[in-house]
This record gives sequence, structure tokens and C-alpha cells, in this order.
Amino acid sequence: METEPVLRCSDLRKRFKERLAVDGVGFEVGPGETYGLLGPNGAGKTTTISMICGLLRRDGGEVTVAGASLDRDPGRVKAAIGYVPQDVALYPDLSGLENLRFWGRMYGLAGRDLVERVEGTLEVVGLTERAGDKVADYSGGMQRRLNIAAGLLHRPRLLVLDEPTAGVDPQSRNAILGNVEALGGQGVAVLYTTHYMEEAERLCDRVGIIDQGRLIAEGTRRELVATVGERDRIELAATGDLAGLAGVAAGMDGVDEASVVAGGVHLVAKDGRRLLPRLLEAAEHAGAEVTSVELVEPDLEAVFLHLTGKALRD
Amino acid sequence: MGARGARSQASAPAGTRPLRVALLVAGKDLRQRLRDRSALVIAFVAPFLLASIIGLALRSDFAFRATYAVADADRGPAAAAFTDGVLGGPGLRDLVTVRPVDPDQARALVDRGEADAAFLLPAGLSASVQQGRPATVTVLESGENPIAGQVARSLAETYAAELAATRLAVATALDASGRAPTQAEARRLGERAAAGRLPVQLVEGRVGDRAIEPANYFGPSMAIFFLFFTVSFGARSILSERRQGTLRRLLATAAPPGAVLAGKALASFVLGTSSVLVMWLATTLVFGADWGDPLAVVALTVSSVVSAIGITALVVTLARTDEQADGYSSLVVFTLALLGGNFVYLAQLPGVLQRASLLTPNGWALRGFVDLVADGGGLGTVAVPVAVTTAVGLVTGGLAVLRARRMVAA
Repeated sequence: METEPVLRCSDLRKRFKERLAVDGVGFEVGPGETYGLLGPNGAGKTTTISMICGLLRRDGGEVTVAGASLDRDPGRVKAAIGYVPQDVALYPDLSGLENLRFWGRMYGLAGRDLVERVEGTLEVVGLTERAGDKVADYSGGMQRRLNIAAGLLHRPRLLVLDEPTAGVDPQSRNAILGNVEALGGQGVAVLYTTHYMEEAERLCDRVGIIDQGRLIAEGTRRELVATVGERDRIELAATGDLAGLAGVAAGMDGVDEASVVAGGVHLVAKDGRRLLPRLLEAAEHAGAEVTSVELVEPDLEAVFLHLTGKALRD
Repeated sequence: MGARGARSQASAPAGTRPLRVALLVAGKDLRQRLRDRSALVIAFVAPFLLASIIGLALRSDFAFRATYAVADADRGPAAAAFTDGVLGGPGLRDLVTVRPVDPDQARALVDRGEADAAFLLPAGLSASVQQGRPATVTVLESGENPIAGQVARSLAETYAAELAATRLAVATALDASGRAPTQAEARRLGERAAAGRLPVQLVEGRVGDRAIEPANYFGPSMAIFFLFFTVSFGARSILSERRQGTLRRLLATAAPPGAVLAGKALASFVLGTSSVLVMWLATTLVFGADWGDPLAVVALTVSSVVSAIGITALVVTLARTDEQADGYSSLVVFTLALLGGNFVYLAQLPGVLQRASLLTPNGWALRGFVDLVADGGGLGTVAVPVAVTTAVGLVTGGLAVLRARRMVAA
């Protein structure tokens, strides 16, 4: 079984005038692996994949795809990549079938091979019935699925998806995520950018967290969550003696931190679910009335918050 | 070291070879154009309709009719030469109705619009002509039909000029014998004057040896005018593709940017050439137009399409949005059309504008088409217009490619 990374990039750098958009980003994606680039809007995700796909001039760094260097053999690199842009990039006045045939030909497909690939891909994304309709007449979700299909036709070694579910209804989103999950099983390396933590958690074998152009953490979900100590956050909205509540909570077993915030108390604790009943009892004794409780178990959002001090969608 | 151009091309997979990419892009663009009803109207329907309308309008102008009142107080041979020889001559006989009246009636008829103009031929006109003394023919013009008035004045001026020239020639010949011209010589003089050509060439648009029929002029003229709109889609589609993200996707397939641009130019060329050739065929079949030597027409068509592609591409690459591109294109196309003589006969333009028309590819192309019809020549006749329009296309197209490559890279 092949173990060589399909994508290997290192020290990618890009500056737009005064702004350093990407600063030393590097990672690898293996065959059948789905790698997520997770970060807020403007973090540098699209700039990074644009450089990987050869669409944007790099200020520095190396990119190798399927053993070919982007500098020395850009044609081979591009032929090995299936690029799915963030917005639907199709011809609305052509049918779905005509679009796929065109994009297939642009990737060098022809004849029977082209026909079979187009038919197969339409089936995968569930658009066979509507293949003859103009893309302009498709729903937003159908356009997104066809958008992905156009990147899959030539069976790329590396599929690059740039926020493919942005602005998509839940049903279509599920269909798209299902398609991407299936690809991993077929040995395709997938580079997936998103600012939706749930998508990264569901799809990605490994996640790189990117912020302000820098890759600030990388690993499996378990590895990343471990960086925040696998502790839960408990957010109590309360009135009354908040300082007293924080003091009592801080002395309880399993509670690592307790702090008063506007309108309540925030705690960091191990196994928050088991702690909650005791915590509510302690609040009553401390003279505080708890009006709502929110338990935040560690996830990639928490990791991002821990690493950057801000939420993913700030 | 990896900090290199994103699109340096060391090798390309078979599917991204430049010629194949250009053909694929051209095919796709043409398919899109043929689905766009407005593009088809601009390329094939509008030029024919407009040429037909202008042609028919000018044909009605050609059926020139005028009623002239003639108050002949002279009753002599010089006056007869004018009324019978000029106004009643073969050139105007079918177009002009002559109403013999007295001077007061002449003025009244013109005032009431019942005559388009009146000629007042004074008593003693023939005697004055014979004796070489000055005489005055008065032309009264109606404001209601200025063209008929202008024609009347021109007829009178031409007649006077011919009389003077001929009388001088006869007088010179007779000087040797030392006698005055006889009545018969004066009559012949008047007849010669009457045989002078009528000053209507400009109105008829006559150039060279053969008359330029409206269909022969406005067929190519409208084809060239709409050609600019027809081919501008190619350059505009770069902006559209950039806006809708397909340009980025195209470049992600390893398609060389130059091949993508070539494909768009090729689609414009095919559609533009088809548009002109269909116009040629349509005006020939429907109006019996004769554009001239087929090889020369094809050469002029090709060079005109090249220049239109180059100019519109350069203009579009100066724009940032589709709307800007439409605005810039319209401005440039209409300016070129007005200067180049697409809406009026080149020969009817004032001298300054005729010279200015040579600053435009339209003007050169039209000159070529007019020369083909008027002189009946072949490739040699249109060599200069073909060379100039091709050069304009290559220069502007070259600049456009430089700008377009930057657009694509951005």
C-alpha cells in the first residue's frame, strides 16, 4: 500500500502589499487521508490552497503533489489535483452534462472514457436525472454538488475543496459531506478548508488550525483536544452572590478554574456532567440563583479558543 | 527554490496542449453564444435589418421629385436652352415638373409650397449672353423642401458656369474672325451648356465609375458596425469568467493562459466572420447587392474582424467590470462608426471628416468595400485597407493580450 504523501508543502509564504497572508505554512496529506484546514474567514486558507493549486504566485515555499514539483512540472501537478472552488464555478447557460463534458475534456479526457466518467460522476452526486437541464435552473445545493463533480471527473490523486458547503442548505450539506467521506475510502487525498468546526470534526483525519496566516496547531482531533487538557467548560448564568459562588466552586473536587464574568460564573473542570448536580447545590448554599447552565465539552472550537483567545467565527 | 511563477509550464499533459485547449475554449464559447438570443440578433439580424431600413430610406430619397416654376421673361435661345435643355433634358425630365408662370405667380407658388423653387429668367438674358454682358438668373427656394431648393440653385449655378465657359471658348474661337457670335452659335452654346452634368453625384453617393447602391454601401457598413459588438463578447467573457470563478478553474486545469485567450479570440473570429459573410449573402440574395470581387471581400472581412477583435479586446481589458466594459465598448464603437462613415456615405462627409475617417479601421474597411464596388477591382484594390485594418488589429490585439494576461494572472 502506498504511504508516500500525495501532497507535501512546506514553508509557504505569501504577502499582499503590507499584509502577510500566509507565513510559513506546511503540512502533508497522505493517500486516502482527509486533511482539514480549519480557521476563521481571512485566516489564509484560500491563499494557501491557491498556492498549492498553482493559481497564485508564491513568495516562498515548496509544493509537491504525487511526487511532482509544482516548480518543475506544474502540468503534472495540476493534472493530479481536482480543484473545487469556494463559489460555484460552472457555466450557468450550459447543462450539467455539457459542463462536465467540457471540464472533463479540459483535464484530457476524451471518447468513451469521458462518457463513462461523466455518467459515473453524475450518479455519484445524484444528478443523473437533471443532467440535461441548464445549471442556471439547478437549486443552490445541486449546483454545489455539480461543482464538486467537475473536480472529480479525472480521478485526481488530490482533491482540494475550498469551503464547499458555504451557504448550502442542511440537506445538500449532508449530501456533500457524504460524498467527501466516500472519497477518503477510495484512496483520494482530500484537502478540505472550512471554518465549520463540525465539518472538520466529522470529515477530517487530521486538522491544521490556521490563523492570521500561520499554522498554529496540527494533528488528529484527539491530539488537538488534548492540548486544552480535555477539560470541560461550564458557563453558569446566575444572579446573587457571584463571588461567593465562584469561591465555593473553586474549592470543589475536579474544578480547575472558576471566574466571575458579567452575569455569571465560568468554570473549567474535569467531567463537567458529573459535577453539575453538586455545583447547583453549592450555588444555592452560596446565595446565588442559577438561571441557565451551558456545558461546553472540549472540541476544535475550544482548541481554537484556547490557542487564539477568540472564537472561530469572530 | 520554490518561489516561482505559478504558471511556468515545464510540460503539459496531453489534455492541456495549447491547441486543444484553444479549440475547447472556442467551442464552448461558441456554444454559449449560439444559445444567447441577443448575441444572435446582434450578429445576424440587427445588421441586416438596419441596413435594410437605411437602404430603403435612401432609396426613397433617390426617387427625387421636384416642381419648379419658371418665369421666362426672356423668350430667347439662352432661356430655352435652360428650360428645355436642362430642366427638360434627359437627366431631369422624369424627376422635375416645370410650370411656366409669370414672375408674380412664381413667387406665390413657392410661398404656398406648390413649387419647390422658381427660376426667374430676366428679359434680355439671351442678348446679354450673346454680347457677353452680365445677366442675373434669380432662384426662389422653398423652405419646405431644402434639397429641391439646393438642387435648383446648383442647376442655375452650373448652367451659368457652363454658359460662361462655353461663351468664352466660342468667343475666343470667333475672335480670330473678328465677328460676334450669331444666333445659331448662341443657341448651340446654350445647348452645350445644357448638356453639362448635373450636380447630384453627392446625393446619389456616386463614386468612381459605378453608382454605389444603398445595399452595396450599407450592407458592409452595418456588418462592420455590428461586427464590433459581435466580437466584443470574446474579451468580455474573460471578465465574466473571472467573475463567476470559471477562469480560475480553467487555470487550475493546467490550461496555458495564452491558449485560453487564443480560444476566446478564435470564437470571436468565427462568429464575427460568419456575421459579415451572412450579411453579404443576405444582402446579395434579398437586395441583389454586389459587394465586389469575392476574394477581396473575404480579405477585407477577415482584416476587419481582426481589427474589431483587437480594438474591442483592448477596450474591454481597460475595464474592471462587465458594466464598465459595456460602457467603454459602446462609446468606442459608436465613435468609430460615426467617424468611419458607417451611418452616412463617406463621400457625403465634409472633407475634414473624410480625412478623419482614415483614422478608424471602419473608415478604411468601408473605403475598401466602396472601392471594390466603384472600381470593380480585386485584391489589389483593397490591399491598403486590408493592410491597415490588419495592422490596427494586430497592434491593439497585442496590447490587449498583454493586459489580458495580467487580468488572468490577477
